[in-house]
Amino acid sequence: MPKKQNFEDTLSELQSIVQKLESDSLSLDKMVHCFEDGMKLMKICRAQLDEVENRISTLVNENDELSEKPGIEQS
Amino acid sequence: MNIAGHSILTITQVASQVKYTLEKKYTNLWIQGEIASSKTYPSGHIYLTLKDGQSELSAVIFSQYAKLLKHKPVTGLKVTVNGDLSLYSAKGQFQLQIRNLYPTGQGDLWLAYEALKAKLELEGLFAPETKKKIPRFPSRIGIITSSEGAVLRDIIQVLNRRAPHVSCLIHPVPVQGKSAAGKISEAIKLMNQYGKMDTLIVGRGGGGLEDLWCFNDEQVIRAIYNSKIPIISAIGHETDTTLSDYVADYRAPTPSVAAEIASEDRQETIQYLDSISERFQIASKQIITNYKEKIVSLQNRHGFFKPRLLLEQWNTKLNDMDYRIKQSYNSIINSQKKIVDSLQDKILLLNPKTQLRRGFAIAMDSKNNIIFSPDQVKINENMKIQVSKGTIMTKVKKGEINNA
Repeated sequence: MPKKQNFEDTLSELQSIVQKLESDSLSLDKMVHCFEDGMKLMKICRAQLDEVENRISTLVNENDELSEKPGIEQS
Repeated sequence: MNIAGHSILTITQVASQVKYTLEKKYTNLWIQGEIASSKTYPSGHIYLTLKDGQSELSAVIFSQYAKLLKHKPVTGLKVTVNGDLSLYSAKGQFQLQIRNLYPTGQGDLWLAYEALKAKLELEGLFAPETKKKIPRFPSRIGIITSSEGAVLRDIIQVLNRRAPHVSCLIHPVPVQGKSAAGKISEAIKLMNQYGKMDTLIVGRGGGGLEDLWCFNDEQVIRAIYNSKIPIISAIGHETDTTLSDYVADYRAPTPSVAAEIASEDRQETIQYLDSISERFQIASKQIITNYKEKIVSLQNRHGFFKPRLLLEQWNTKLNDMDYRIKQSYNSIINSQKKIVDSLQDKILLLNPKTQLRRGFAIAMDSKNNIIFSPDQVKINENMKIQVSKGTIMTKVKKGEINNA
């Protein structure tokens, strides 16, 4: 499974693509690529926003081994 | 003035010399004592007397500092004050001009606070240019606070409402007591080591000065400064400013505000995505339109235009020639037709039958030879006379040749 991309990074990639499109010196070929890439990223962003569950987990340090446990753990 | 070798001074001269000496030597003092009396004037200045067992010191807190005081200087309060000595010339009294006043006990804390603040400031830990930008659209937010209490609840509540797509990773820590500072700085380091989050919120609810004190601890401050992850601080109430607040990338007055700063509202994010989507459509359409226009203008270029023009010219020429050929052909036919017609008229005139109808007759011998002269026949010889409507048989009676 590919690493889940950070929303902020995806968004800034999206912004730079749309800026490239708006600079209008693109060849038709590149434009089509940009458009397709942009739509893909847009889909990823929207999918992330649709994850409605506010997942909460706690960072646990066991013998210098960091891991996550779902929910709120007492300190 | 000079009397017997002694220079004589005016009162004002003495006062100004003493004032100069005092202000030069006795600046930025920390003094402990008890407030013997205190009076606030309409101007906002507070005049007070400080004392210990043996001595008294008159002091003033000018209104610009009086406004900022956290503790009212009430009579009987044991205080530590920070300020400069000066001379009140009108009364010839020296006076402490107080900038800060803390109840004693806290005075030591604040002394340490100010010293640490000055040191870290000099090191550049609070410089605005070292502040990291808080991501507007985080996927995950790290929270370092007590697992009990309102802070965590408030933050999670706000995130649930505004940005349910954002997840939280909590590192519970004690936020007061001796071990707090060490645990908090350790938590900041561990969260950085673990990564996978966009923003960190370090928070604590309101409390007494000593309760918040761990956030003025140097190791906490340095841990915040060294964090690769941007940190929002939400410590105590709005009026309490800890050094952690100074060094954090953003200082939120409350945990709820921290959560709001840490995450863009989901609806607004969706709207923002929509606006980008629209920009995509507009920009792509624009590019396509530009190319279309280019094609049209190329089509209209001379190079493309010329062959068509030539073709049209040739076509016109051809049409013209065609017309002219047809014209001359017709005129030739017509003139030929006229000739034929006139010939036909002539032929019609020459037809013997026509002559016969006009009353002429043709004389022929018995062998049907046309007789042109009387000497072609003899007397009593049979001959035929052809007229328009038939033939007459007859005999020659006499012949006479015309004398031409």
